[in-house]
Amino acid sequence: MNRAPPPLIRLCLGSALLSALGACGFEPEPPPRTYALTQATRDAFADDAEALAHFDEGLLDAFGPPAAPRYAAFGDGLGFDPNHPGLAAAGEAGGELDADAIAAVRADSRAHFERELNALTSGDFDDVDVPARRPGLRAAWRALFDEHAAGRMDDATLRARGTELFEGWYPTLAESSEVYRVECLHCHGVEGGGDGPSSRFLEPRPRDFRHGVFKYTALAQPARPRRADLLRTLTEGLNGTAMPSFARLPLAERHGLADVVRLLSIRGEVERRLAATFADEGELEDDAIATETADVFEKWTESRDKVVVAETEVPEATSAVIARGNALFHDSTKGNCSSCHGDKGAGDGPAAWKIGADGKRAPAYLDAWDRPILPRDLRLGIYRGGSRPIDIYRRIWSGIPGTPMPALGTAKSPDGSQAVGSDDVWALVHYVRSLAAPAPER
Amino acid sequence: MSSTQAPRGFLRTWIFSVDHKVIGIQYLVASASMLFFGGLLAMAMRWQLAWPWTEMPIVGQLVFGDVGRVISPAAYTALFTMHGTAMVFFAILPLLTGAFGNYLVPLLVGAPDMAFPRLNAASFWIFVAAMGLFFAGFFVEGGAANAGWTSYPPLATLPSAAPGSGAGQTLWLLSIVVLGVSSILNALNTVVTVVKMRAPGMTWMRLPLTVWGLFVAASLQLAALPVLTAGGVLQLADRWIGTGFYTPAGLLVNSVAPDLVGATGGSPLLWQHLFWFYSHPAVYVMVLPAMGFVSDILSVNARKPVFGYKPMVWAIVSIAGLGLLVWGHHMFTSGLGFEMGRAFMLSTLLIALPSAVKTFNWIATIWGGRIRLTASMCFALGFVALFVIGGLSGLWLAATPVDVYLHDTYLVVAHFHYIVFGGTVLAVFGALHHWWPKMTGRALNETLGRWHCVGTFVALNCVFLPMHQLGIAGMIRRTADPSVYQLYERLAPLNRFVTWSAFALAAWQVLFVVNVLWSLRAGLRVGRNPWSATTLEWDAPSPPGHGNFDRDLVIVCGPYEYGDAVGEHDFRPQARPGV
Amino acid sequence: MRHLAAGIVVILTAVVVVLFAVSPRMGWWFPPAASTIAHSIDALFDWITVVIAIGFVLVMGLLAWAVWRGARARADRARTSHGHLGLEIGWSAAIAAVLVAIALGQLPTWAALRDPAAMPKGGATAMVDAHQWAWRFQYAGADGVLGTVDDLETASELVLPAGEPVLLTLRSRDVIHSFFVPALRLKQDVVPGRATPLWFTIERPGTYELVCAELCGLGHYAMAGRVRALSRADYDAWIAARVQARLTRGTEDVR
Repeated sequence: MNRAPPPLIRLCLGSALLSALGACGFEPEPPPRTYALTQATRDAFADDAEALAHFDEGLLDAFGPPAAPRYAAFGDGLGFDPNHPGLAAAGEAGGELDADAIAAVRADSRAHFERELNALTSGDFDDVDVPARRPGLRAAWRALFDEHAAGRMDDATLRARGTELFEGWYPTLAESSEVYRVECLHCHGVEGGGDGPSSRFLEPRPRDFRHGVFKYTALAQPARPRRADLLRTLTEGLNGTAMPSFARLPLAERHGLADVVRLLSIRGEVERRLAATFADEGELEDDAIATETADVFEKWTESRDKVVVAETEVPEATSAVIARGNALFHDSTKGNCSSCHGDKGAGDGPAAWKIGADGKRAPAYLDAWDRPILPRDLRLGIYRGGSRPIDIYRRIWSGIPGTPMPALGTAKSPDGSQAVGSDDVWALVHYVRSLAAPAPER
Repeated sequence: MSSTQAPRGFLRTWIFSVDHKVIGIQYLVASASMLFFGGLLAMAMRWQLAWPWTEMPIVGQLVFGDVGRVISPAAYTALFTMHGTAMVFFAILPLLTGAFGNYLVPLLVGAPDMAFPRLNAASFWIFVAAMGLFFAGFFVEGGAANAGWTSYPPLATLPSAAPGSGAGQTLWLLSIVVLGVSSILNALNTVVTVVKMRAPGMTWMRLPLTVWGLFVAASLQLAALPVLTAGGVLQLADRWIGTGFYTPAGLLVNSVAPDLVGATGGSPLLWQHLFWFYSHPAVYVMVLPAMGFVSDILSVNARKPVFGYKPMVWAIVSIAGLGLLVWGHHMFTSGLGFEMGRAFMLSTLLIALPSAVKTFNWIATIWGGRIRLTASMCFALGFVALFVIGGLSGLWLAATPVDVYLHDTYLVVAHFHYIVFGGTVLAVFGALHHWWPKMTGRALNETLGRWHCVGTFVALNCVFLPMHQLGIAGMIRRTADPSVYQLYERLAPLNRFVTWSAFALAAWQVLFVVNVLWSLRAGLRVGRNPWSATTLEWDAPSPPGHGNFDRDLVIVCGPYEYGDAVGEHDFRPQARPGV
Repeated sequence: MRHLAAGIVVILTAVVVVLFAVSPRMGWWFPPAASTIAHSIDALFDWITVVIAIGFVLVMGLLAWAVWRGARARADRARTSHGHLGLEIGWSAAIAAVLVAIALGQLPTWAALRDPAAMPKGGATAMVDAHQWAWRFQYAGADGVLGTVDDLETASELVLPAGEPVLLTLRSRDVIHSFFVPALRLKQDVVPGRATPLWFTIERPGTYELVCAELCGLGHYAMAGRVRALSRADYDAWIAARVQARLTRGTEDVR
C-alpha cells in the first residue's frame, strides 16, 4: 500500500509539470501565407503555363510575399517612399502624412501606450511589457531594454528613447501585414479578394480590394480612396455590415492597415489589368508590371483633389425643407429616388425589382459577384457611409460606386441643365433622415 | 435466482443485449469516447487562447487547412459550443445516469435487471442516434453549431446570425431533442426500478447513497427535462416554420430581416427560462450521483459508516428540490428584473446549505477512520477538496451585484469546471476504480491508479485555479482572442500557463488508458468482495452473470455497517450471508 | 502515501491563498474601480472572499488532518458511529447564519444597481445601439432630445459626463450582446426587442474599455469599445463641438 511509485512514473510526473511550468515562453510561428492568382487570371493565361508562372513570379518580385510586402517598382518620384511608411509618417523623405496627421498619430499613441509610458517615466522599466501582438515594437523595446541592462545606456537615455519609440511608433509594411493577417484576413482573404474563410457567411460580402472600388468615400467618383477615407472606415466601421470599428487599434496601426489595403488593392488591380492585357495581346512587355503599378499608384495619389464639398451650408431641417426634399425624392426628373427606394423609402421601389424566372419578385440589380443589390430601407436609419448630413450628402452627390446608386451631382435634367443643386441635395438629406427619425420640434 | 437464460453470441451479448450491465458498459464506452472527444476540442481551444491565430502542429494543416491553417473565428465558436455540448450532454450526464445508473442501480437494490430491459436498450440506441446527429453537424455547410452549448436565440434560431446557425444548429437541436427522449426513458427506468424492484427488506432508508443520488437525479430529469425538450422543439419550429417564439419583430440580422409568418411578441428570454429550467437542474444531475459514489467510497475505505445518513439523504433531496428553483441565477444580467433577481439570489444561497452539510458529513465520515488510500479513495478525497473550491466560488456568484461583474467571465468557467471536472470526473474515476473489479472480474492497478489521481489532481488545479484570476480580471469566456483587449494584456502569461497545464492534464490521462488496457489483459483477478464492502453488488459474482445474483437475498441492515460494533469482521454485509 | 495525500491538500490550500494574495500585484485582479457602484461591489466581493477564505482553510485543514491521521497503519477498528444530531444542527446553523449574512449584505447594492426606484429621473443620456459586431452610440443633438434627426452619433466610443448619474438605453438590432465595462463593474445584456435601461455614476474622467460579454457570433471576441468619461464642462464642450462639426460642408476633408 505504501510502496514508492516506480521511477518511470515519477519521471513522467516531473517532466509533465516541468514542461507546463517552464515552457510558458514558447511562441509558435504564424502559418505561411502565399498570394494566389485569381481564377480570371488563370483563365486569361489558360494555354500558356510558362507565361503564367513568369507573371506570378513577377508579381511576387514586385509586391513581395504576404509576410514581407513591398513595392519594388518605386524608389523615388512619388515624393515619399511607400516601402517605408514609418519614414513617410515621420515627415522625412517628403512624407506622405501631413503635420496634423502625424500629431494625431502621436497623440493617439501617447494615450494607447499610457501604461508603458507611465512605467518609463517612473523608471519601472521592468513593467514596460509590450504584448506579443506587436512583435516589431516588442523587439525594438527589448533591444533598448537589453542595452540598458547591459549597462550601455543610462536611465535618462532609455527613458527618452523609449518614449520616442512608443510615441513615434509607426509599423512597417511587414508588421502591418501581420496585423492584417490577424484582424482582417478572416473576412478579406490573403489577397484582399473579400474571400477569407468567414466571408461567405456575411451579407454584404467583404470588399474585394482588387477592383479598386471602394463604396464609401468623401470623393467624386471614380476615385481610389484617400488614406483618410480608409481610416474613416477602419475607425468607424460600416454600420449595417459586418465591418466593425477598429478604433481599439492604435491610430498608427490603422494607418498601417490602410497601407496594406492600398498595397493589396494595387497588386490586385495590376494583376487583373495585366491578365486582361495578356488575354488581348498574348504577351506582356518586360516592364509591364512596373509600368502598370506606377499607373495604378498614380490614381491613388490623384484622389486628394476629388473631395466633395457642399457648395452651400447645411440648412436647418425645417418642415419646409423636408417637404421640398420629399418632392425631389419623388420627382422622376430630379431626385428620382423613389424609383428604387420606394414611395416611403422602404427599399421597395419598382426599378429595383423585376419578375424572376419563377414568377416571383427578384432583385433587378446584381453586383460584380452576382449577388443582389438591394436599395437601402431608409426607415431603418442605418447609414453605412456615416450619418452626418455631409456623409449622406456625398452618397447622393457622388453615388455609390459598384451599385446603381447614381451620382446626382453630375446628373442632367432632360433639358440639359444640372438636375439638382447643392440646396436640393441638402433637402433630400433632411428628408431621408426624417424617414428614420422624427424632426426636432422647433 | 434468475429464470431467464443468458444470451449467446457476440452480437447478442455485447451489442443487442437487454442486460442492464451490458447496456451500462455500452454507455460507459460511448460516453467515455465523448469525454475524450470533448477533451480534444478543449485542447484546440486552449491553443487558440494561448497563441491566438497561430498554426497548431499537424492539426493546423489537417483540420484547419482550408481556413489558413489557423482556427477561424467561426471554427472557434463551434469548438466551444461542441465542447460544452459533448461534455455536458454526451459525456458527463450519460456517464452517471447511463453508465453507472444502469450498471449499479439493479445491483445495489438487489434486482435482477432494470424494470424495463427493452426500454433500456432502446434508450441506449436512441442515445447513439443522438451522437450521430451531434457528429453530423461537423460535416454540413457552415460547420457545427455556433451558438454555445446554451444555444441562445436569436443567434441560434436565425440562420443568417452565424455560420453554424444553419444546418449545424438544426442538427444540434435534433440531437438534443433525441437525446432528451433517450434520457427521459432512462430516467423513467431508473425511477421505476428503485421504487418497485428493491429486494425484500431493502427499505428506503437502507438504500446506499449512490442509489439515492442516481434515483433523485433521475427524478430531476423526469421533472425538468421535458421542458428543455419541448423548448428545443419550439426552437426547431422557429427555424423551420418561422413561428417566432423566441424572435422579436423588427430584427435585421446580417442584412436579413427574419420572416416570421406574422408572428410577433417572441422573446429571446423565453428560451433562457426554458433552457435553464432543465440545464440548471442538469448540474445537479451531474453531481448528485457523484456525491453518492463518493459517500460510498469514503465509507468503505475509511471503514466507518457514513456520518449522518439521514441528513445526507435529506440533503440530496433538498438539493434536487431547490435545484428546480434556482435557474434564474443564470439570468441576473439578462434583464430579469429587480425582484426576480432577489428571489433567485435567495434560493441560490439556500441551496448552498445542503451542499455544505454534505461536505461536513464527508469529513466527519473519514474522521477517525481507518483509511485505506486506495486509488478510488484518493479520487474520492480529491472530489471533496475540489468540490469545496467549486462550491465556495459559487458564493461570489450567488451575490447578485458581484455576479453582475463575474457573469460570463472565466471565473464562471473555473467554478463549473471545479464542480464538473474536479468534482464529477474525479468521482467517476474513483467509481471506476471501485466498481471495475465488479464489472470485469479484474482489478485496476492500484499504484498506477494512485499516480494517475495525483497527476490529474495537480494538473487540473494548474488548469482551473488561474481561471479564477482571469475571471476576476474581467476576461470574458467564449472569446477567441483575449489579446484584443488592453485590459487582458497582463493575463497572457497566465493563459499560456493554463494551456500548458491543460496539455499536461490531457497527456496524463494516458496512464488511465494504460491501466484499463493492462487490467483487461492481466489485471489481478478478484473474488466477490475485494474491498470488504457491505452493499449488495459485492454479494454477486465478479462479474455478475445474467440475472445478477446467484443466491437469494434478504436485506437485514443498512448499507454502512463498518467499524467495531458490527460483529466478527469490521463490516457487515447488507444481505444475510449465503443460503 | 498518507503524507502525500494530506500534503497535496495542504499545498493546494497554501497555493490558493498565496495566488489570491499576489494576484492584485501581478495585475491579475479587478481593474481600478471607476464608478460609485464599483466600490460597494468590490467591498461585497472582499468580505465574501474573507468568508470563503475562512471556510476554505478550515475545511481543507480538517480534510488534510482527517486523512493524515486516519491513514496511519493501525490494527484496531474504527468506532461505529452513524452520526450526531447535535453536530448536524450545529454546523447547519452556522452555515445558515453565514448565508443569511451574505443574502442581507448584498441587498442595498443590488437595489442601487437594478431597483427601478433608483433609476435617475429624466431622459437617457445616450442610446446604445449594439449590432454584429460593433457598438454605436447616439446622443441628443442641438435640440437636447434623443431620437430625433439631429442626434449625434459615435462608433465604438461612448462619451459620458463623469461625476453625475447617467442613464443609458440599450438596444440591439440583431442578437443578444452584453454591455460590460469592467472598470465600472457593470454588465447588462442587450436583448433584441426590448430597450434595457442601465444607470450608474462614473467617478472620474478617464477611458474605460467596453467589452461585449455575450456570445454574438463569429466576431464576438473583437466587439470592443470604450467609455470615455469627461468632466461636465468638457462634456458640454465636446457635445457643442460635435453639434458644430456635424453641420460641416466637408471643407475639413480638403488638404
